Amino acid sequence: MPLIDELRRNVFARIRAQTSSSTVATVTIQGSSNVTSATGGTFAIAQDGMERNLEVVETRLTRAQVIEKAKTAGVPQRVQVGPTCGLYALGMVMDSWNEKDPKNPTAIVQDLDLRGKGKQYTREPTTSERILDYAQGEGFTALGEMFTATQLAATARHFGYDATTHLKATLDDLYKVLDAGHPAIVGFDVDYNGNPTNSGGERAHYAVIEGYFDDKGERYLIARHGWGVQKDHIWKASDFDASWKALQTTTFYGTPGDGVIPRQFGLDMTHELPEPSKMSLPDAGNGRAHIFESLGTKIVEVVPKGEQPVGGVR
Amino acid sequence: MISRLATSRLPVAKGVTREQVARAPSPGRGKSVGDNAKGDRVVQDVVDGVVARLDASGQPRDTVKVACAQDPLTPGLVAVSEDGSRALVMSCKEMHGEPSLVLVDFTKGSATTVRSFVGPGWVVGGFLGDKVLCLSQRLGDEPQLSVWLGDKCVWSVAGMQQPCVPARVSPEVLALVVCPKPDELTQTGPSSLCALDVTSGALAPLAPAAGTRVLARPGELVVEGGSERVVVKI
Repeated sequence: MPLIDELRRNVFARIRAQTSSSTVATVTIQGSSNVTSATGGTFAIAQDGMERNLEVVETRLTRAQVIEKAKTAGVPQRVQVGPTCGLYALGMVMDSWNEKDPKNPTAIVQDLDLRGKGKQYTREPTTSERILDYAQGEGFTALGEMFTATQLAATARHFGYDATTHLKATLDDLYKVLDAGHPAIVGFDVDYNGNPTNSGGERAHYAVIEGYFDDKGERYLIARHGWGVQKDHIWKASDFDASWKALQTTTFYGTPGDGVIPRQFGLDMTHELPEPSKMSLPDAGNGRAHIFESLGTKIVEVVPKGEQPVGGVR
Repeated sequence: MISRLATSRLPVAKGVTREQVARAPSPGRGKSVGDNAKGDRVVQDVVDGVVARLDASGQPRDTVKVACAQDPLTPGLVAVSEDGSRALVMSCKEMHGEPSLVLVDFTKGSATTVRSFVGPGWVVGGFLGDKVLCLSQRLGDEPQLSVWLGDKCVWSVAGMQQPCVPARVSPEVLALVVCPKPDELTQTGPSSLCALDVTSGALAPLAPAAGTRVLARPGELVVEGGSERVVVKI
């Protein structure tokens, strides 16, 4: 685990510049009564008598540097099109493995992505098959929504990966996956800024957790997801823990089992959109479906064939 | 001296009561409902691209078209004017970006863009008497919330805030829910009901609170839409 505490202790570390002892310099600075040179470098005697080393350099670890130091399983960004966060999260993980070894497969989510190189995808697909086409064909999804984590893992296996689902996962399970250098695909409830919240599951969303670190007694996660509103998010692990436990119900399907789903954004709804054939979410009443058993506290671990997942079921 | 005068205009919390409340039922995917102190209700449906007043039976009337491309997960919040004739809503050109604050006038049947910006983020409006306020939240790697009164930025803070419709306390003072000092790592933090002097930019936290709208009533401010209803006597 990255020792960000230690890194941050050095945030204000002062580094004395290496200079020749024979260097003599005269510098006039505001507030100095005189200027002299000592054992090396340029010094000023301030009015209060304190000696100031003018060559002291202040270093600071930026937020971006903290992220880079702590990421053990970084993934390339993909910006999702449509309600397809899980499929784009899977695409990001496939991209990361493909980046490590081009023999590892990767695929784009849908044909629309071809218009968005650098945004909807960064790695050249190794197959002409689309992730969304497969998930729809299997009856996992209508528009790209993936409310069942095991079906997302099954999709990853179809595209040539070994993939497991950690059921009833804890934060400790998450850290084990990350310690192995594996990105972790997780569901959570998302706020307007792309951060964890608790809306009871109404804003269920997928993210890829890329690493974690401790700072001042608090544990933080580094996350990336398909909105692309921030390069990498830093979340308190405790906030995320509350959020993935908050995935209780959704109105996405209306009443599950009635065969149709309510009108959705961006669709010509002159016809009714059928529920996906393998959607089996329990009815929660009042036009809602339970999602905790299928999505809450789940980790989808996707690794190349030959590499062992740290846990989960197939 | 100027800042002292500004601070003196700001209300002081004389008492806070909190009441746990049940989560309000979702108005439906891609829908957002706002109301004013009189109970006039307005709905925005980003799926259909319309904004409408709701009658007593909850049926839409006086529908005005407002094209939207935002994610139905984040439709935006609706602010309703004191007389119920106008509303402020968000319209985005992308799922989570290119947001505009749109003023809908139901009497004229018009929709006018008040403020917009390029890039990821969201906007929330508020009425300050006849004036229109815009809270614009830029996201990205250097997120920032700015409060605009016309073309003047009256207050801003680095970090990410939660959307919440503000309320007018007096002609110069606004009540809003923000985190005054977000954490440097997460760029977020616990929010408080705050009073903002729009003429000086002075901000005074009144009480910790979270929600989606502030109501200003004589002698008290109320924060609703969160897990608890917070009433602050001022």
